[in-house]
Amino acid sequence: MGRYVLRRLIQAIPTILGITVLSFLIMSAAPGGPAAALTFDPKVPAKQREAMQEKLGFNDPLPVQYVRWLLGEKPIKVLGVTLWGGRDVPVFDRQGNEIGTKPGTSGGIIRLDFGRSLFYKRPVIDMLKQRAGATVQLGFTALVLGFSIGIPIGILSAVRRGSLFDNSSRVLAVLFNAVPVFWLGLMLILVFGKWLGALPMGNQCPLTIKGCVTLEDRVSHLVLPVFTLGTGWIAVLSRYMRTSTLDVLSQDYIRTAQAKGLPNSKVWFVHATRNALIPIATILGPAIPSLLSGAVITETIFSWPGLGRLSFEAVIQQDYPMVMAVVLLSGVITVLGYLLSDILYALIDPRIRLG
Amino acid sequence: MKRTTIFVIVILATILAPMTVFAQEPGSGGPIIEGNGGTSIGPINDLRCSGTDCRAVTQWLAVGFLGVDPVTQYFAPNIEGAMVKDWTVSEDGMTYTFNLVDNLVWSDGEPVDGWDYLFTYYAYKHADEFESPYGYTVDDIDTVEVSEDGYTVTVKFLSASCGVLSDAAKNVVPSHVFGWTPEIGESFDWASLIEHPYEVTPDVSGGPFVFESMDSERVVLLTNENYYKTVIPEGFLYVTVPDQVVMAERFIAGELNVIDNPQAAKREEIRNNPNLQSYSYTAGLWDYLSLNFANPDNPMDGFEKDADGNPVLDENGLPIPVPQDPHPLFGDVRVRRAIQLAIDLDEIMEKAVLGEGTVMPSFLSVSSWAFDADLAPIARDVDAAKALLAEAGWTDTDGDGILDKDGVKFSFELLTNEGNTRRGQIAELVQQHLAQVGIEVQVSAIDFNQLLDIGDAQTFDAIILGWRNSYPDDPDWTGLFTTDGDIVGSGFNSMSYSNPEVDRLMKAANNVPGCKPEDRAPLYWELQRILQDDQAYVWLFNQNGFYAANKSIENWSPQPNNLFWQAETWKIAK
Repeated sequence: MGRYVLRRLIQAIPTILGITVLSFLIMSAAPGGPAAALTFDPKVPAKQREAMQEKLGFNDPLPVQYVRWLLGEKPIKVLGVTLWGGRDVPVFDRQGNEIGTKPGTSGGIIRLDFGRSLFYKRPVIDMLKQRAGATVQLGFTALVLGFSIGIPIGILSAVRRGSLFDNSSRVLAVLFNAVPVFWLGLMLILVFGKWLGALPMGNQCPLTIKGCVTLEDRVSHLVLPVFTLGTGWIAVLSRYMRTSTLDVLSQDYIRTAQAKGLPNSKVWFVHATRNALIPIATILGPAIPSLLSGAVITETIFSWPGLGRLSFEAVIQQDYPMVMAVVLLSGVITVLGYLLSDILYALIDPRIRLG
Repeated sequence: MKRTTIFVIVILATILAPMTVFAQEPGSGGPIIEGNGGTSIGPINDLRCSGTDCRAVTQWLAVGFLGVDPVTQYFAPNIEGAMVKDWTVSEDGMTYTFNLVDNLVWSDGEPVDGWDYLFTYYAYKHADEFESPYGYTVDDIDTVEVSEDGYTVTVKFLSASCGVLSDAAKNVVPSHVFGWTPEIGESFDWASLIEHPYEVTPDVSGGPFVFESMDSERVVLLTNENYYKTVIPEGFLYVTVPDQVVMAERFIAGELNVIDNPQAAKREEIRNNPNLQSYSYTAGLWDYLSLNFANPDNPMDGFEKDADGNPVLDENGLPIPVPQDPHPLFGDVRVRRAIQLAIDLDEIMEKAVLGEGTVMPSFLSVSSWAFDADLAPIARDVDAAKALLAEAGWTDTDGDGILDKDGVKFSFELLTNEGNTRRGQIAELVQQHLAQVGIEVQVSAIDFNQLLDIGDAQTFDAIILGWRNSYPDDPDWTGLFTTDGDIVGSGFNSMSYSNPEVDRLMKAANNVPGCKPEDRAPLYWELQRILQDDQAYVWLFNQNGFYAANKSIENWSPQPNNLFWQAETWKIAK
């Protein structure tokens, strides 16, 4: 198993590099660029606007820009041998005339330097670290909610096929799948926040100087966004689980177990569930990267300070360092998610051996 | 006896009532809670902050050098909280001597003085070294000198331009925090400002609040007990609320207690809510429709240049215009005027901003001190528009409902930025209105950065975008309407408008000796008339600014462009 995981991780490196190349090309091919937006002020002299483009290196050929993102502007030397010469950044006077150069300071991805956000001017890595926790908290809780409610509902719907419970859970699943997240979120805010005043309308902590003081403060702020994000999971997982359980229930070994006189609960929840869960394991892998991408709207509506909204805004603004960092992060999480899925598959299904 | 007792009680009450106000302890009121419509917050260092998000925080921490009169919205002496008490100007108008107040201290007890101003000036001079976009703001400053006691600052400018006060007006940061001393002067490691802790934990303040903490969703500031006057609110909370609809709902529900410019659709509800108070004013935000005067297939710079690419100037120091290849549709002023006449601005304003705006006759806001009150906006007149188009040779010869001339149909593409519903609505209404006079318009909403690039490249037919006036109000729009701004790739006069009289007047208005508003205003009145006559833009409207606060805030007294006027006196129920 260990060797398998190691091999998969090594194989992932070219995959992730490929993702970054493609993302970089797509992003650079998009019309426009951040330099104009950064200097969109009639009082900024025209030459300084041109200088900004040059200083940021956006006038260089795309492959040069990509390699610079990868290797940085600082030279790379190993045992006195220069492997990468780096880049000297042009220096301009206040009239926008180039007056010299200075050594670049960014280390590139190879040195785990993601650069600085063009718009917020803060290190990208700091901004990602600051927000990753909130996204994981929201996404993971929603996923747990989805699994803990969706799976039992799916099993019960399957074993009570055609009953009122089955029909109503299927209708609700379709409904929650179809309801747009932004609408559901706004409705929940209006009903539980504005009209009933029962729950906070957003953010992670109360809007007081002290912020979160008790556990209840944190939990109460999680309720609405988690429910908004979790309903989709409940709907999807209950339907998957229902179908999967129905498949298993029709198999011979279940009939054998029932014929042996085992109680229904044991047949359903022990013998049937384990095998019915195998397809669910394939959902869990892709679910992990979707924690990052799927929460954009929920995070926006509930003012949740996570990565989703930050990534979305970075793409709109063409904040290249931020976009590339998020792409890299998503690539790594996706690869790890699928790897986890494969491992889970092997753990649940004894017929599968990894090697 | 009874009468005497009542008299004494009345006297005592009269004396004691105000004393209860004076006895208000610092930080005894509740906090000010405002939403941040962005996603994150940039550097909380005024030297590097370039967005409204970080500016919303630094405004409480840095000290303004020059004060702004809330009524005229222009620089004025003796404004409380500002460093400058008063100033004198040399005869040639190039040297200003500023006398500073001596009652301001930083929150750590160090005095706020001219040395801090000098450090701030030097920093801007070296702005490129720490990735600040504001180096150009000190371009017109030659030298800054500080008296030995630190309370007189002499600024010598390179010109007598009236914009120099804006150049001198800086938010000052505490030099001692950066380890700077006057002896170090300009030979400071300016690049070190990028990584300086002040960037994220600016724990020394000269404003009413001091920095307490910042995380991914909020910035918390607390009462500055060393402020020169009592600060009643216990702090300022700046909380990320990226969705505008949700922000308005959270304000109405009382979670936020102030709001700046909620969406137009929510303003009526806020006005009618008995728990809220509101304030409207003509804001410095205005949308415009820019028609390209020059052929978009042949963009060229608008003035003669020397071998180094610098403009060749005439004897008056003005650029020499180069004749442009005119736009096949908009090169004719009659066509541009017809478009203005065909547009129903009342309907546009009603639908795009629910009437929350003011029609503009020309390039200045109604609220500007330089606005020409006698200049009326151009009213809609479809018949006059049709007549002008016919006079310019545009008629519907083939009966398809679209005007044509020499076999060319009057059809063009109108660009605006996607995601902006207001501008999208304006574009659609312009399309409908122009269809009524036989002009076909294809509306395209594209990515904002792409739109800016197309504008810079001057390859567009027509664009709807907007400007925000500077604050304090400066009516100088050199670069936007002057020939020297017509530079392909980077100039803001992207429509290639050129009128030597405008170049002359814009320069003259910005160089009036003494720079008194009453002396400058008549020149701007003339400019407004010329730009209206030339249809430099198709003029649309100013948006109304709108502030609101929870009624639990006492002493709330906003001014135009200043939601937090005298916020230190606000009394907010805890």
